[in-house]
Amino acid sequence: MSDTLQTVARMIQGVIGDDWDLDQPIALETSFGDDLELESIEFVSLAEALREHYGDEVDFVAWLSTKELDEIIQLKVGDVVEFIDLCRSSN
Amino acid sequence: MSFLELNRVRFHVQELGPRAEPGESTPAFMAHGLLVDNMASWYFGAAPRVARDRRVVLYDLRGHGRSEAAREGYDVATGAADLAALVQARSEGPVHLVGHSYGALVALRCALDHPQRVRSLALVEAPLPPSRLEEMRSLATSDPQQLLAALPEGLRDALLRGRRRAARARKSLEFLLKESSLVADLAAEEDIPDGQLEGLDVPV
Repeated sequence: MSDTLQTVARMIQGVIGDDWDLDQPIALETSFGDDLELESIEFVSLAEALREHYGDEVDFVAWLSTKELDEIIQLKVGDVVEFIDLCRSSN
Repeated sequence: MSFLELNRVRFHVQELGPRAEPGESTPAFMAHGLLVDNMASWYFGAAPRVARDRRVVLYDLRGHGRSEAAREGYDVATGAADLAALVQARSEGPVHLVGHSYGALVALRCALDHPQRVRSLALVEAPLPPSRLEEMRSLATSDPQQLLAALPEGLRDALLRGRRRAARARKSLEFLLKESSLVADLAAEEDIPDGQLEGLDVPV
């Protein structure tokens, strides 16, 4: 598991908290919509966690704001990991 | 996570954009709509664009998102008092207020009641007069199931896909419609007299 995936997975678990009922570990293929059932307000908390961890280097909020609602629903954890790695490699 | 107690209710607050006020720019405060809405609509919508050159302050209305599930205070005047308290807590000078739907009514009332705190108003889909508040019709039954069924398809799918999310959406609506004063508060809402609107002295 890549460092980024590990970090993102830990954040997602923190955001979902006690409501956690996923029986499989979070992987690149895990989808935010169908698998994690992340709510919109939980996405906000994930964005906050990412900002606290990566600072201005990774602008997750601006990236998500370019996407349509149905694109966000279909997002996979791997898409976010890829975006983070891309931001960090270009800096 | 960022929480702030205002008017004895715990509010979930997030900020985007530069941490300090860049130059002379005025911060923007944004208020969302009722029931199935929360700050995420702004957070992943217009807020990041506005935050390119100014601080943006977002909050979940009482009983919504991650703010406290208050049993009372869903009338527009209390909502405006909450927003005014937030502005006072997070800005030294007057601010731009942006509101969508019910949030637009809250922003407007805030500007009427606290003109010294507001520099401009941006009202999106403001249900004016308030008696035309779109949600009122669906609220008449106050049945969460019917309300969810009446939502636009895309939004309904986003809210209700899966067990966990659907259960949480229903629970939140059950609370707002059955256990809080929201339905009664909105039914008692009166239209704003023209004279008051004429007195509004900020760009709208």
